[in-house]
Amino acid sequence: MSVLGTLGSRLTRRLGEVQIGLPENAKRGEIIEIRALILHPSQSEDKTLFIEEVAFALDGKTFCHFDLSSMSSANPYLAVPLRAEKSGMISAHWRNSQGQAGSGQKFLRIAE
Amino acid sequence: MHKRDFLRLSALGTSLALGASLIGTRIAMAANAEGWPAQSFAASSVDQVLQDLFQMRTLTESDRVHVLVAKEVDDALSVPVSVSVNHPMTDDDYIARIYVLVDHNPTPLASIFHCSPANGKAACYQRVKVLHDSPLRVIAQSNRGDIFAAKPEWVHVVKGKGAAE
Repeated sequence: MSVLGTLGSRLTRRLGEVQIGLPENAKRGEIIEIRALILHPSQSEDKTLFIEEVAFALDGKTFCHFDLSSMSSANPYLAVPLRAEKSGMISAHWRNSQGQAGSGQKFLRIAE
Repeated sequence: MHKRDFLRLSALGTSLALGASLIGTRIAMAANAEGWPAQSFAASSVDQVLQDLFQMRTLTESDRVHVLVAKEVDDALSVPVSVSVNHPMTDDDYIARIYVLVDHNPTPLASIFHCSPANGKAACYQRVKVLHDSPLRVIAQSNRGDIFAAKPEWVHVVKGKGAAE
């Protein structure tokens, strides 16, 4: 495989990937911001391919979610608040208009 | 990860989206997520959306809904919108949904954010398309059914990236 081919293959794998941003020094009871970037197109002309839903969860329990239309930007970049009560795994799950889905996760550590 | 890194990744993803196919595995959404409201998103006018969501109840403007959006944008395909609602987030009284609408888009309803007391604060950030000059509306609804509408913000699109003619 050519260098470009290898690079393309590597980059292609990133589509649908979720990058999660969390504060590094969260304190118990503090309201923190959770950010998620999803690498995904948003085609609005025929409403054929866009992200419809994004759900945020702590240890598997959803605490908020977005319903999105084709008028949401490509590569949705979302931020939501969370009252930090405990350490746990933060995850963001997405599903698009063609039924494909994906998720990303990152551990939230709360200082005692 | 810093915001700058997010933005860099975003630009990368946009360029990739044109030619690459999506690789994704089917997974179930979280069990308590409600169904995607196809009818509201299919509406092509703001009146239709408001009829569907609120049965055309009178929407009184409230200064408790704060919206941050640029008055003039040069990237119509990615307009940052930040919303916060000054309202309690207790178990029996909280903001349950925040709607973002762009009146002159072909699909006026851009998003519905469903929040809960666990959020601690009724707020969200996202990026939407504003394809033409248009008012942008944000409406918040409490779990008790109270509706709070922000004063519409007019967004002017500089003819550039993504702007419709």
